This record gives sequence, structure tokens and C-alpha cells, in this order.
Amino acid sequence: MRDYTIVFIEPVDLGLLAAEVADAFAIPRDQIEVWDGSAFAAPVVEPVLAQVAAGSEQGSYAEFVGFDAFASHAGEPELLDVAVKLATRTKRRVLFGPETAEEFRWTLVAADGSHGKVVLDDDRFDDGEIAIVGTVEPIDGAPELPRVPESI
Amino acid sequence: MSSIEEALVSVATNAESARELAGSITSSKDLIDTLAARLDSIGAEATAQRAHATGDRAEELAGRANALADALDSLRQQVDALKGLLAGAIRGGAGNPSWNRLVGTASAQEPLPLNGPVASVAPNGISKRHFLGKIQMKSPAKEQNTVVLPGVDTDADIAEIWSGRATYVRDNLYTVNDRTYGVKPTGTVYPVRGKGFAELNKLEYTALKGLKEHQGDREAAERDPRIARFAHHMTDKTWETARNVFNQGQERA
Repeated sequence: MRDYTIVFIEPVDLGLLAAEVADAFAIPRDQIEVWDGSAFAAPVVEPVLAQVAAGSEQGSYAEFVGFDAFASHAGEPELLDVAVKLATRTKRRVLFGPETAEEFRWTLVAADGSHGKVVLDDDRFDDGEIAIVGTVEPIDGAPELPRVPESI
Repeated sequence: MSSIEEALVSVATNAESARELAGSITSSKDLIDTLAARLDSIGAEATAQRAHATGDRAEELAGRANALADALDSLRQQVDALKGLLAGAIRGGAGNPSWNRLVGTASAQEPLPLNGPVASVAPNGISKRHFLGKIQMKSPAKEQNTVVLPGVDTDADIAEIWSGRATYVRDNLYTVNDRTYGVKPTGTVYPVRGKGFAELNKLEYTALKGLKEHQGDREAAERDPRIARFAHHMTDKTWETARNVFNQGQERA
């Protein structure tokens, strides 16, 4: 199953995000779910192709979620490409998690589209909070984040 | 030879060198004193005074070299004591029963070479979101989630990794007892795949959280707003996979 979960770590309006998703990936607006944290904002038309939602973890302000239907509709894009597109369109920083079970580093995409691997705080993540410890490589759009050793 | 043994030998050698240096300086001081006396006897008082001053300086240096040797001897004793403490901790398992079990085969042997992150950091356990028994509704669901089923002795596996007996795969990955683990440079260990592990995608892990939260009641879980959000994306297969893991947890517990 393809999974495009992109976490916004800066506030973003869900309506604006849905509009950007619709525009960026040519998805009819009524095939995008908008979940406000407790209910869907409006009825949707099947098949649902994507979802924008209030963040489900502390430190997450919103999420974009797409699965196989989104992948098929959007032409099987790379997760990074989707993240860059959403970050640059909304001018917000986003994160996405490791794509394999072997990897543990996340990827941060800054508002300008620059990106790199970052490490999250394990203990806080365990308790449902997203907190970045630092970057493992320079990210132009996130110069204030501390660097952690390359090997991490 | 272990690195601690190497450190002990190195410190002892340096202490010996410091004492030899002190001895050489003392011998030089004796020669300088003799020279100063002769200079005095021939009336070269100014030069004799400078020679005396040089002799005093040599005596001071010899004293410092001896102090350094004493400090190195003290360091050697401390390293020796530390070695004893480490051996005791390993034998005692640092309070970890799984380590206790391993020590019978491990403590009397030279440590095996370590590769990857564990060469520089001790593995310090697995985050609770990976344990079936500890998963909570707030446990974040990632694209790939590896869950440890009850009954898997991850402490023993971690001890094997730290002892050097696990197979080093590459990067930060190790395989032991048919299970693969990753070790972060912080020491945090995470399960990857293998016997006694369940690999779940985001939706399956979310469904599992729902089953746990609602005591296995799928309908109740599906009504939970935190689960209902994915109603259009979860299928019967999603729930069957989650149910299978949930049931294994019930059976093994």
C-alpha cells in the first residue's frame, strides 16, 4: 500500500490546504476529505482520493494523507515530490516519516522546498509528540535547526 | 587484548617513562651542582650562580616528573578498579535478568569486536510504541510499523547485539535469533522485522490501536473518531490483519 502522509509542523488552514491539494494534483475538491479533528467538514464523493486533516500528534498542525487511490490518480509520484509541492505551495514546513522499516530518520521540507534528513526525539514521539532533535544535513530553509552527527 | 587492558599497559608504560625522565633530570642536576662548585672554586661567581639556578630548575623539573609518574600510577589503579567494576556489572547484568543469563557464557571470554553504532554507544532499549502490550491510542502510526509480540525476549537480543554475537548486517542493522534490529547512535533500538515481529502499515497499526482501545470490539473502534477518520481507506483486510496481531497478543499474554 502506498502511503503519502505529510505532516505540517507549522499552522496551516485546512481549507487552504485542501484547495492547494486540489490544484496541485488535479483532484476534484469534493474527492478530498477534510477532517477537522472530530468530524468531516463536508460529504465527499467516492472514490476519495486524498485527505487533509487536523494534526493527530502534538507538534503537528495538519496532515495530508493519500493512499493507493491518490498514487494512482497522481501518477505514482515520489513522496518527496509531493512534500515539496505542498510545502512550497503553502509556504509551510512539512515532515514525512521513513519509507522503510530499516530507516529511522524523517525528512523535513522547508517552505522554500529545501529538504534534508532530521532526527526526532524518541521519547516525545513515544508520547505522541513530534519534536525535531536536529538535522543530519544542511537544510537551507531551516538554518536555525541544530546539526546532529552525520552518522545519526 | 581488550581496550581496557591496553589502557592499563599504556598508563603503566608512561608512568615508567616519567620516572626515568625524573631520574635523568636528577642526574643532570648533580652534574650541574658539581660544575657550580668548581666555578665557585675558581672565582667565577656570576657563572656559578647561574649554574646553581639551573640546578634548582632541574630539581623542580625532576620533582614534577615524579609527580606525573605518581599521578599515572594512581590513574592505573583507578582504571584497574574500573575494570573490576565493569566486570562486576556485566556479571550482575546491571539488573537485567536477560543479561544475567548470558553472562555464564560471556563473562569469562574476551569481548567480541563490535561493529556499527554499538561500538560507540550501549544499546538502551526499544521505544514502547513497538510493544503490542504498550501501544496506546496516542502512539503515532508511521508508514511502516514493527510491533513486538508478547513473549519475544528483546532484552536478550539486545544483550547479544551488545556482546558482539549478533550478525552485523550493514549501517546500523543487526540480526539475532532470526530478528533484525536497528540501533540509533543514541542507543535506542528499534525492531525491523523477523520472528515474533508483526509489520503493519499505517492503517493496520491504527486499526490495532482501535482494537486495543476498545477491547477487541471492531464496531466500537470504527465509531471512534480517531479511527473513523480513515473509514474510507480501511478495508476488511486491514481489520483482519490488525485482528490477527491483536489475537496473537491475547494468546501469548
